[in-house]
Amino acid sequence: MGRAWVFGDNVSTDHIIPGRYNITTDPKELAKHVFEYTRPEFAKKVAAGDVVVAGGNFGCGSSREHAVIALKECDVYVIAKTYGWIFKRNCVNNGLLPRQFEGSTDITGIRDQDEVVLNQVTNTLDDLTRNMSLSLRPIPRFLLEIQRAGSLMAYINTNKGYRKLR
Amino acid sequence: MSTVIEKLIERRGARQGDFAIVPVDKIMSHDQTTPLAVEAFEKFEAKSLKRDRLVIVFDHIVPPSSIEAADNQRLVRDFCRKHGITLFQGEGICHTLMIEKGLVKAGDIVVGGDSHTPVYGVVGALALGMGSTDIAACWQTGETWLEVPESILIRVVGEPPTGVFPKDIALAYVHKLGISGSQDAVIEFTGETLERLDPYERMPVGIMATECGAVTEIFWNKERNLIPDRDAEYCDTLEIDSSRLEPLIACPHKPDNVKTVREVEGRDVDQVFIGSCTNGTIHDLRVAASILNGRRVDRYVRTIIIPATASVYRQALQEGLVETFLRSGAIFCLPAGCGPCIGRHMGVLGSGDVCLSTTNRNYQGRMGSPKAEVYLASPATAAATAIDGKIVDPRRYL
Repeated sequence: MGRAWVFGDNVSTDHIIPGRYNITTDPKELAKHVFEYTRPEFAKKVAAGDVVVAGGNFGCGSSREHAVIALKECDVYVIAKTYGWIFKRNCVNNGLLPRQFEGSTDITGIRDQDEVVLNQVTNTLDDLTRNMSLSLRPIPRFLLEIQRAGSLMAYINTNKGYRKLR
Repeated sequence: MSTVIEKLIERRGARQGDFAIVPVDKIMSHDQTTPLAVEAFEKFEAKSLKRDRLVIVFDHIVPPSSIEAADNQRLVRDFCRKHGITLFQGEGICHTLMIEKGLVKAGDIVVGGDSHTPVYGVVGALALGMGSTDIAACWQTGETWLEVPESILIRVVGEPPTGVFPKDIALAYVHKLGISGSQDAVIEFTGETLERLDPYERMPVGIMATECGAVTEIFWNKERNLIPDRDAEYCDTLEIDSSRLEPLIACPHKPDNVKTVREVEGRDVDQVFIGSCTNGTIHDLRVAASILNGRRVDRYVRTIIIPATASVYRQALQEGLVETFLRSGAIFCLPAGCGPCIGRHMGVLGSGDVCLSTTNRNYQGRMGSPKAEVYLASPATAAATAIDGKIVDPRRYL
């Protein structure tokens, strides 16, 4: 169980972590500044199990991975309607699952700081405050394999390259 | 029933449903994205660097303007020296160099640690922009994974009237699609207007696909059989009649905030920049020189011109364009590179500055102060604006 942190459309990697902090790759340092300009209270109040709920094109913009490193360190789930293409790959490659709402889902009912649970059995995000459930897209097995390995490096080390797709 | 992108993926790789593993012919990265890739590469246990496929270019902050930039370049330079990797320093912008040096060709699959890597689609390559982890994984395996994307088709027809350049065509489709209009999709380009353009003239059209959130873009290429099946399915189709266009401009602070130049004429500017991977080729410098020839830029405007590569510079020198620029009072800068586009050096914008730039992005803070404003337009509009000191329709000078 955690709280929902609700964001709109087109949240860029610069919104997630301002460019000036890209001089470090230390996860703890980056996590201190996550959403610093857009949601200054986020870094202080976020707790493990909280859920970042975003609209379309989450993580658009620059290809740098600091944004993913920072979010992963916060130990949050990330669920968006859609993602920036590079950001989505960066999430998978760094062991953070980029979950997605089903295409037609209306997410406007979820309000910031609602009590939410990511239900892995029903594959839904359950909003306990509003007593509603939003369905999520299933995760393709290939992405799950990389994420479960912990990182793309670990996946490649274990499998000695990419496993043949079945 | 395959699009061009599906055909290329199926021709080269192993596809299973929505996913494919494809070989990678070239792996490009630059001074900003390579340090993290080097760090990631160290995590591989049994290293197998695909040395011959790596191309590393110092173009973003070259030569380094700070100790931090110099330290990063030192780390990468040592890595290149140790492994005998191709390194270009100050010879030009990575994307223009890749095409100019023939490092990418039709049918190739190329990845790059830069969000504008998709531009290699102008020569018929499948090119993907990636983060540093992906780049390191390509160095190690020579392969990459991808979700097979859908395609949007953009067909450009008609003869562009005087004053309308490839950048205007690009802004026309960015305006129609919007900054997330091509999300999770590839843009495929075709049409008589684009077929007539050489790869360098196509660059602004290809580059701006990134600004619509496109996975990548590719131009159809009949000679290399890069054309779709007759019954290929496109998720969206856009037709642009270039004969009906007029000079366009993207206003602050989003590339899809597009208006006609006429609508914003008269806006005072503090800086004009002509250059970048988007508009720094010899074609662009010729257009700018044709307008600046025999004229002076406004005394109070900082006009900066930077060629995309060293060979563009050499050509401009031979054609007398550099002489024209210097006589006009513009600042002609070397080395060839990204220049002020990324807001780190060679023309950083101050608070309240207004800049007309031939680059690709105008998000807040992109070229310096978050309180600066950036307009994006063609080199013709930029050169005309430099003369008047305010935004002006270039047709007045053509």
